[in-house]
Parts: sequence; structure tokens; C-alpha cells
Amino acid sequence: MPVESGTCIIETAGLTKRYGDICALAPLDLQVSEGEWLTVMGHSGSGKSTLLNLLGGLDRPTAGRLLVGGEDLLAFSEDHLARFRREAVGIIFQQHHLIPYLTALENVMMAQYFHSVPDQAEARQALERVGLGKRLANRPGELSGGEQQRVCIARAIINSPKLLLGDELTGNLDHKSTRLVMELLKELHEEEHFTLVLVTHNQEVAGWGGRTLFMDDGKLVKDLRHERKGDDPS
Amino acid sequence: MILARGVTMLLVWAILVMGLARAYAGEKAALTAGCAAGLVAGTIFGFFLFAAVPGEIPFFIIKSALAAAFISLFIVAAIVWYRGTAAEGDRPSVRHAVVAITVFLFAAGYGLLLVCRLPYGTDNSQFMALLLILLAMLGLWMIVYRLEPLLPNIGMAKGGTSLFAVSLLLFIASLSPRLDLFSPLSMKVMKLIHDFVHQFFESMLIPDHPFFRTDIWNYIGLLFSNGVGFWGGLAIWFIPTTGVTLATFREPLPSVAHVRQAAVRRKLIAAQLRERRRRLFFPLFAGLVMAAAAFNSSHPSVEYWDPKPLAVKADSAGEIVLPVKDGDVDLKDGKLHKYLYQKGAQKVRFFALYRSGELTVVLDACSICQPDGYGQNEGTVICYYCKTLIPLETVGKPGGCNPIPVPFAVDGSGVHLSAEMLVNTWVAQVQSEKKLPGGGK
Repeated sequence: MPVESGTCIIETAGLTKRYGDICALAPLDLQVSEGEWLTVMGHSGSGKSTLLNLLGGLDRPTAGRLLVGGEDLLAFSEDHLARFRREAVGIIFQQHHLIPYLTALENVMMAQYFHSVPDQAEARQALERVGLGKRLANRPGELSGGEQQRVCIARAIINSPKLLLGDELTGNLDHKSTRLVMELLKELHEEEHFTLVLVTHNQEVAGWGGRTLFMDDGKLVKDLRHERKGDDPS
Repeated sequence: MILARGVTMLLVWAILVMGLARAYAGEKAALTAGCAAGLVAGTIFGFFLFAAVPGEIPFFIIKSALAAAFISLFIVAAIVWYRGTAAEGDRPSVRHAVVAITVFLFAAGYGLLLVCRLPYGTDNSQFMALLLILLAMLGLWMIVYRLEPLLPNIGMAKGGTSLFAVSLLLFIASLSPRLDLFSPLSMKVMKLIHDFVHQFFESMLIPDHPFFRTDIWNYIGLLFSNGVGFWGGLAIWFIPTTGVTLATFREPLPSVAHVRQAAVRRKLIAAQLRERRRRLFFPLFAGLVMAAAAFNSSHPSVEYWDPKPLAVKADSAGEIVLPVKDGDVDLKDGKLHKYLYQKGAQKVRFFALYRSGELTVVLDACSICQPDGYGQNEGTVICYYCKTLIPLETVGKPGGCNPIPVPFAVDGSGVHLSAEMLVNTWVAQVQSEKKLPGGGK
């Protein structure tokens, strides 16, 4: 399917990832438009996280073509790829990966530091935006799971990435916290207009997006576009 | 020797020009032309200068030019300091002619020092040196144009670059005791402090003040210690480098308030900070080179002839007799012969030297410096304290940093000196003895 120049932020052609004899991702052709909210669903081992890692420049494909924002990630050197991750991508993991001995504020500032220079006022503003204005000085161990995930969201969006990736970001959260996090993401998505790719098992989370990819055994089995039920997915 | 020194200096030159071309990429043509023309002009001028003017005068001229360059660094530092606070629009842009002329002067200085570093007067040395320079010119153009784009980006800062260029000249000069600037600077600082304290106390009649106790005098005495000249000289030596470095540090960053997106704004600030850090490269490197020059000056690599003083005694008539030829010792061999006479606790070092067809006897000290003594090297003796080089012809004449002459007589039995006169002259004319060398090197 031809994609108009300027509207497509992710474009893959024959994108493949193999680990020895195991094919983690079968040749995949995919286009994602700028500002789109894409959810990737599938069983464990279906290739969802592999795809996400490739899109985020965390891993390199075995074969195929991968363009993000018009740039060929396969042509990037390791340094260039690291710069791409720092500047163009925000990643939210299920396990948070917050630095335990730094406060919430410092964790967000750390992302700024690796991107350019830290700015405390801006980091504080980002945490206030995710509703953690009163938990700035708390370390991750002093925050609930939902709060930690919100710190992760603040950390992921602080550098204004054009692509935000979430890997099972609500996997550890209860229904109420999941809803809070998803509402926050929806609000940010509408304000910042980044492209969001979420990997999840959760049907409820998939409902927040406008498009869902179903994967099985490393292959794309269904590409479903649907109405966004952001207001009340349940 | 000529090849080793010449090639080393030309290699350094090529690397330097390459670095400058990288830093001033927009001025590459003017810069390389100025470098090449300046180096050739400076070298040719150096050859003519040494050929036409005899003795120490060429060194004096070159040393004066270096001193002027060093003083100009203070002006550079002041300008950089001013520009650091000036609005962006006030800053003049680099112009081709300015770059070419500045680089020409620097390159001419380098060419002059290149001539000074080459052993002058040996067969074919001039031809060899010129050949090297011509070859280097060809290589220089090739290196600059081929390798320059491969270098990492070096921050352009006119003040820092000037500083670096002059510091390099000072470093090369420090390799030759005749051209070294740091030691005379230390000496001048020491003399200034001594004179100031002396005059101040004289005019204020402070020595008679009842509140001045011994411990206070001990503190004042620090101003007359050996280290005063060195540390004072070092402080002046590093003023331009420190000034330019600090000015670069405090340079305000261009405003990014007009950029709406915070991440982009931070990225711009980070780029500006990186750029400012790059601009610190030259002043910081210049500081290192200046430190190396000061170290060279304090630890000259030249080996001086400095024999261990022979102990002598006075006869019953109070006369010391030095045989002109006694076994291996020959006072007329043109080398410095040191002696030590001791009367009670008072030690007197002196030396005999045969130069310009006649023998002379002098104290191993002058009336200005601490009595660290003298060493001998190719046509000169050096005062170890202030590193002043004294031509052999002037040894035996009074004044300045010359060793203090003493009366003596020569007859068939040897050189005759009065022991009492030696002690009296030492006590009366030599500065207080804080440091006596234990023996020869």
C-alpha cells in the first residue's frame, strides 16, 4: 500500500528478525501514520515485543527495511542509533526501569540529561502534568505501581518524542490504575500528537487505540481499524 | 641533529596549521597562504639576521619580539574579556586580511625560532634547512587539504587561538636558554618585590616601628625568599591564559527564549554549551604549553660544565696560590675551574677561567642573585639562579649578573689571591647565603 510522503512515520518492508533457527518476526510490511495510536496484540512469543524493540532501535533486524520518520534505521551507526533513541523515541516498559535511588524528579531529569541538558522546572512541570506534583521528591520505592508508571510516562514524553512505545505498560496495574494511565496517555496523545505503539495482552487497553494488529507466531494475522473508545472503553 | 630538530619543528608546524585550518575552516585559503609566506619570510629573515649581525644582538632582537608578543596577550585577554560580555551584534567577524596578517606574523616568528633551533654555521646547515622548509611547504598544503576535513570540529575563538600561537612560540623559545622569557620575568618580579619592600620600608621608617616583632619580620622575610620570583613570575605568566579561559567560561549563551518546544530549546542550549566547551580547547591547551615552557625554563636540558669546587687553603702570609698547571688541572684549558676557600664558618666559592687570551678570577656569585653559582656552556656561563647567560668575554667585568671580579696576580708560580680580600668581598657584595650548592653537577 503506497503511503503519502510526510504522513507515514513508520514504514517497514520485509522486516524480519531471527534468533538462529527461530523466526521471531516473519517478513512484515507495515505503515503507521503520524499521530496514529496503534495497539499490537498477541500471545506470548508472538513477536510483539520483538517488533517494538525493532521500531525503537533497541534491536537490529535480520533482514528487511525499516524507516522511522523517513530515516533508515538500518543505515544508522550505533552512535547514531543511540542518538535516535534519545531524541526521537520514548519507551515505557512494564517493569518501569526507574533508578531506585533517584527521586521521581531526578528520574525524569536523567532523560533530559541524556537528551541535552537537565531542566528542573520543565521536569517538575511534566510530573505535575501526570498528576505527581506532590510526589516529586519520592523515590520509586515510595510510589505505587500506577504512580511509578506515570513517572515513566513523564520520563518518556519529556523530550517530546515523535514516537512513543509502550511494552505491556499496564501489565502490573489493577483496573483502576490502568484506566488512570490510559486516560493520561489519551490526554497526552491529543495534546502532543505523537505516534503511539502499545504492545498488550489486554483487550481493554487495545480499545483505546484506533488500530490493532494481531500477531501470532511472529506473523501479522490481522490488521484491524476500529473506532476509538477513549471515553469509556468498558 | 639538524634533521631531527628541523623535521620535528616542521611536523609540529604542519599539525598546527591543520588544526588552525579546521578551526577556521572558512578562512582556509587565507590561513594557509599566511602560514606558508610567514614561515618562509621568517626563516629567510632569520638567516640574514644571524649572517649580518654578530654576537648576541639577533637573540636580543628575537627575545624582544617574543616579549612584545607575550605582552600583546594581555591585550588579547582584555579584548576577549570585554567581548565575553558584549552583545552578539558587537562582535566583529573574522576577516580574511586580518587572519592572513595575524597568521603571517605568527608563522614568521615560528620561522625565526626554527633558525635559532638549527645549529648555525655548520657546513650545509643553511642549505639543509631551506630544503626542509621547501619540502615542508609542499607537504603542508597536501596535509592541510587532505586531512583537515577528517579532524573533529574545533571551536573557533580568535583570542584562544592567538593565545595558543604565542604560547607555542614561548615554549619553543624556552628550549633555548638565550631566548627563554620566563626566567628573566621571574627575576624582574623578584627584583621589583625586593625594591618595593626596601623602598617602602625606607620611606616609612618601618624598621624602627616598635610593634614589628621578630615573627612579623619572618613573614616579611618570605618576600625575599627564592620562591617569590618563581611564583610571582608564574602568576604573571598565566594571567592571559587564565583571563581568556575565564572569559570563555562566562560568555553568555545566545537566547533561545523564542523557541516554543522545551526539548528543542534544551537541545539548542546543549549545542551552545558544547560549542563553548570546544572554544575552551585552545586556551586550555595554551595553558599547558605555557606550563611546559615554565618547566623547561626551570629545568633546562642543557648540560653545563660545573666541576666540584677544589678546597684551597691560604699560606701563612694569607695568600692563596693556584698553580696554572698542576697534574690534570690546566687553568688555561678554557674551562671553568672552581675553588672553595673556608675561613671559620665563612665559605667562599670562586672560579678561574681562561678566555680571550687571558686568565680571570671571579667569585662564583654575583651581587644581585642568591649565590647559586655559575655553569659553563658553549661560549657562555649561566647564572643558575636567574638563568642569565653571560658571554665568556664579559666574565671578569663588574656589574649586573656578572660574577664579581676579584683582584689577583699571575706569575711563574701561579695565580695569587689574598684570602682576606676574598672573604671581605664575599661578605660585602654577595647576597645572604640561603642556598649553597653541595658540589658540582
